Amino acid sequence: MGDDAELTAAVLAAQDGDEAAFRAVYRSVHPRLLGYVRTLVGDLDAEDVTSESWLQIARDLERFDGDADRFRGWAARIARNRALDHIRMRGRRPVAAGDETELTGRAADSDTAGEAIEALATGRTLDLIARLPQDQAEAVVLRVVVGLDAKTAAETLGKRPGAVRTAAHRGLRKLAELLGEDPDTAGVLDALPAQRAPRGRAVASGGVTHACAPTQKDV
Amino acid sequence: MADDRCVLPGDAGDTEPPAGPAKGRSTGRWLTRETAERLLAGEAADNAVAPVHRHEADRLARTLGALAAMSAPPAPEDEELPGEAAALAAFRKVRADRAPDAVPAFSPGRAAAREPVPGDEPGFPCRPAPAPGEDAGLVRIGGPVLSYGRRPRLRRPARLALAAALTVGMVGGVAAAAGTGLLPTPFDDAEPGPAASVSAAVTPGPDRPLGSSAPGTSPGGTGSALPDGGTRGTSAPGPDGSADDSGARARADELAASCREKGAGRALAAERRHTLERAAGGSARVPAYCAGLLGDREGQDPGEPNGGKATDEGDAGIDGDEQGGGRNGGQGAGQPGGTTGKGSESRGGKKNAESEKADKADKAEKSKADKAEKSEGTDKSAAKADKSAAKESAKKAKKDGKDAEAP
Repeated sequence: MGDDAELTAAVLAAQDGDEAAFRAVYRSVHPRLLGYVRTLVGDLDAEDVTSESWLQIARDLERFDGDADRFRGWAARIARNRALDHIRMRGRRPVAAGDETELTGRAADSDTAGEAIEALATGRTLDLIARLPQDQAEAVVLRVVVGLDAKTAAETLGKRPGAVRTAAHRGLRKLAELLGEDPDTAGVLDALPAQRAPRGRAVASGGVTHACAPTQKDV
Repeated sequence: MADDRCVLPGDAGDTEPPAGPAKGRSTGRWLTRETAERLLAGEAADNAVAPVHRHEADRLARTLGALAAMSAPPAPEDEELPGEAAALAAFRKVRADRAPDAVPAFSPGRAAAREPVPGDEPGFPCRPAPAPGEDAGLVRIGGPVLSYGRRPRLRRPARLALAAALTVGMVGGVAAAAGTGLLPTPFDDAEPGPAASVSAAVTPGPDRPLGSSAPGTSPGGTGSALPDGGTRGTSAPGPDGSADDSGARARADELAASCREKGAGRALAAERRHTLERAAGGSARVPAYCAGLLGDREGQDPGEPNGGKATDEGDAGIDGDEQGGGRNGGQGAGQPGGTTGKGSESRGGKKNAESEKADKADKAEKSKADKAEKSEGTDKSAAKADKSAAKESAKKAKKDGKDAEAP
């Protein structure tokens, strides 16, 4: 909870015009926000869309009121809207991120086998997620990637918490089924450590140290 | 959050599937709500899942771990994140744009809201107490506050109506001015300018001129004046000060006097005739003009006095008005001469000038009806007239004084 308290304080200070606080907010929220956008628009456009989202966040920050959790949800909602705009423009399907070539490129660029596997696992995971019904996929992603609880995720999606909770659970079951039918993915995933960092702590500390370069542009 | 949830003893038992590796629809059996919550929160299923399904649960957990790895890893403190500079620039710009207005009002309120809270909520020392109307629903994106949307819509029609009314009034005024001012030109080539100016001065402020000059009106007769008086009385709330009026009134007085003399069959001095013709828009129109002018005066006279005094003293004012009206009518009819007529009327004029807010038309009529009561009123009106006289120009004051004493 320490992180949450810090973020809450930083948001408030940023609302009062503290630039350093805004920077802290950015650094705290951006990684997850970017990850979320990646699941929505893919690696190639994720950074642009996320940047647009931050512009809006900076603009509307004054109007936000709430704690760290709510701020994440609020930011996620902004990012989601930007991503949907983007998808509409491009005519692309959401939650269907990285295609094989992107993943290959990223994997080849990685230094270690572990990273390559991670990247591959991420790609496979996204493939799996993309096979979920949209509402389930969104619920799972918001909770796992952005780290929202059911209530905040529901607010982000504009739905009732019960509906989002149910959707997430169904999504997990579906995922488990898909894993059972997909030995390849299962095999890749088996190479990964089972436990990831509980939310609230830095995502990377759970063994996912430096998965990938944030975008393909860096390659 | 989910971390608080511990594995309940019953969980494993409840979730224990009948037998064998889960397949097809039975896959999810081991995945209870609680287990799902744990996984979604980033914890391992661990004891929540029966050993038979531990492998599946772990695999699902790893999948979710890979998904969570979509997030970019936190960067070292000294390393700038991609997009960080741009976001900061945007933040700065927003601040700069809003600095003048929003910030001052915003910061104090927030600071005030924050102070009482720390004790209440140890976990969130800086969390502001949620204000009742403020963002209860977390996400307020893109949508400016809806509740404010209504008002402008309601105000707009009112404003439009007001603007329309003003426009109509202005157009009407211009039209009237054009009617009197432009027509003269063909008749009087020599001096188009003055005619226009005179008429303009007269038209916009019908009350003043009429009030002051009214006394002389006699030729027009009391009755004829009324219709005009009605209109003017209501429409002319006496907008301007005495200064403008006095000029216009003096002119109007003079014109009215000229009309009266002419009506009485006397010949006018060349200069006065010219002025009158100019004002009328040509010699041919003089009779009509005079009829209108004198008619207006009479109509207004009675009304105007009310306006003046009515504000100060309710009934007394009315009485005064009535008297004035009655008197004027009588005097006017009796004395075609400009001087006497003016004297009596000057009162009315002054009163008008002071405050023309009262509606004159009604009172004018009343006044006629109530002529019988005038005797009382006269004194009061005289007193009022004196007051007004003091404020107004010296000569008028004198006249008023005389008038007041005379009745």
